[in-house]
Amino acid sequence: MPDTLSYFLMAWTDPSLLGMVAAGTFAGIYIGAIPGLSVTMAVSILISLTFTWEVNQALALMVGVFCGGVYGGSRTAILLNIPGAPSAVATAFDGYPLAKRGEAGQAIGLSTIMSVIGGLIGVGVLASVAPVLSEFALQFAPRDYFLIAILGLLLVSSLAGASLAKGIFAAALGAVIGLVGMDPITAEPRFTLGSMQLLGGIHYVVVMIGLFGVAEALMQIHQLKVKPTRQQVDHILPRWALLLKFLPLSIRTSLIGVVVGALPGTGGDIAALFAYDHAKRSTRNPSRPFGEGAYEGLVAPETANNAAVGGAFVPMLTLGMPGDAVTAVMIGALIIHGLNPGPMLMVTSPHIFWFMVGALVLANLCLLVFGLMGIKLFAKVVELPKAMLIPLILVLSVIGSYALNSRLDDVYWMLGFGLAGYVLKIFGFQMGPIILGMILGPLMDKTYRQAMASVGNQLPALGWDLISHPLSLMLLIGLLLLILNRFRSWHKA
Amino acid sequence: MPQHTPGSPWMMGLLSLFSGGVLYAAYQISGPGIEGISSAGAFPLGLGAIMLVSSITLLFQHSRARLTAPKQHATTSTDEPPQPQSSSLISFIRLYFPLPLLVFIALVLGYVLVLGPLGFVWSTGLFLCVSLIYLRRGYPMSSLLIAVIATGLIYGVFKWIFQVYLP
Repeated sequence: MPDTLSYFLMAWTDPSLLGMVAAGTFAGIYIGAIPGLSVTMAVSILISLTFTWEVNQALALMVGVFCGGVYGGSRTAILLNIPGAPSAVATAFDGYPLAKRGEAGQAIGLSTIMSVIGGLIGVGVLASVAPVLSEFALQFAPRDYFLIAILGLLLVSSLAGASLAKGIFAAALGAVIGLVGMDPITAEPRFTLGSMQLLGGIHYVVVMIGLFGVAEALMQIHQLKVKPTRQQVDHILPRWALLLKFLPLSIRTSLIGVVVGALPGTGGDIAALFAYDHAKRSTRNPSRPFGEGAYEGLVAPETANNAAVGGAFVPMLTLGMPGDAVTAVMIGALIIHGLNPGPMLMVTSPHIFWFMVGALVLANLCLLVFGLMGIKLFAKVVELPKAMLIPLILVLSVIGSYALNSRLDDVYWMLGFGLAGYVLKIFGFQMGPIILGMILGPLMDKTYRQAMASVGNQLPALGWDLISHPLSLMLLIGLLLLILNRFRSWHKA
Repeated sequence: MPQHTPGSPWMMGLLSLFSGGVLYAAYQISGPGIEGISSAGAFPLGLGAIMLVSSITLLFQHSRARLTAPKQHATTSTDEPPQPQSSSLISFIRLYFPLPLLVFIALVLGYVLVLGPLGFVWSTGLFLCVSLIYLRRGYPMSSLLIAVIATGLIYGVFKWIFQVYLP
């Protein structure tokens, strides 16, 4: 217990770590708020820039950026009706009408405090559930991991966009990209097209920077002429009575956020939409009609998307499976630093887990401070013209991809994936499933082959294993139900 | 019915071809026979098959969407002149690869190509300056100033704070 407390307080007591969390949160608010910059993009680039750092410093910065970024998206959603991040889409529904009524300051203040409440509840659940789940996960067999990975990919495929077929294609494509290189078991080359260079595989950070940095920058070129309208911002601190009134709703929607965020493959955007829907259905007498500036419509998504941050860390730290695209990228960061996210993390490196919990709490408190300060300056920064932003994103993407191995080839790959990502985006393919497929693909390949080897490469024996072990059976039923549900809704559509 | 984007059937057709290629490459890894059930190629083979099935499904869906689109047009506005084939490749290129985008892509490729010979500072400064002038439609002096300041800041931050290797 004393050890746990000292790990937890590490980010609070070490000035350099404290500074990293604070700087990350501050930067994250702006990154999340500026349309065209995304948290995933920032964390992807940060991995390649911080891999020579001490692990705690790198994680402190990334945790801060993650927390700040999820919150930051709401600012532009309220002020400009442009969600800075996907998790802030639902915030714009009532946030912008509030700003148009001259209550932008009140809306920002309320969203800040509610984000912090949601974030802290999310971290609380992470701290209490993850150690138990991690212990339980030690009993998982390779076949269980295989089933969970399929579940995660199916979930992200079906929830990430309107088309299930596109989601499945994107996830499978990501998995294929993840398998490029030498097979770690037999050393056979896979998808290398006879190239020696590809034997080492394609670095996932290069792909991430291409898909989230370059592709997004190219998309932004279509919006060069869009000019945001400025709102009047004052009276930022919300009334105490208002906070108390929405506390029960914020707790409910925080729990929705944690649960949705903890599902492998789903993130703050889906959590916020679920929470908004819950608020709409459960509030009998909203302060105003939903969509016309209801406070409830602002509170629900803002608590849920920040609570989803804590939730997303649960599968990442206990099972080694990403909760969303950002945690997929953070898994990459942990691996680069020689750590192995999964149930053994709590056994071999408990300090990392408790350090991250402490850093998340600290980041939420920083959010409270930075969220309620400097809003006038903020309003100017987010109006940075796209014509200036786009070339800067490109330069950062080039630096990020080159810094990994000091090879220009990585820059070419990054650009290639950026162009491919741009074309795929045009046709409605989401980038999230590709990244999750990249992370989960090699894991699925490994666990599938381990599961097969454990039953002497006999498919019927694997089938018997799946139905004779209670945990595997439960996962299999869950998977079948999900497939059934997805295909039924697909058929209806 | 999927949202109809010009050129969708072309794209889905290309993705189907690509998926076929992935399936073939996966087959070459695993080889024939039941022994391959847990071989290095087994899982890639499954992925290739999933990609092929989903891309053919998409091709079918988008082709159907294309066929139904003119019918809807005919029933709703008979007085208007017929629209050009919205799924043609030319409409797609016009819509999604406008001149500013093509010029910017060319600038980026040029930037990456001169990174090695010119070094980071000169190539980045040049790229930022030219792309800012082009995307902002003028303002050469302020673009030059922004490019110089941004290059200096980026160089300083990444060289001294992040301590990363720059090209």
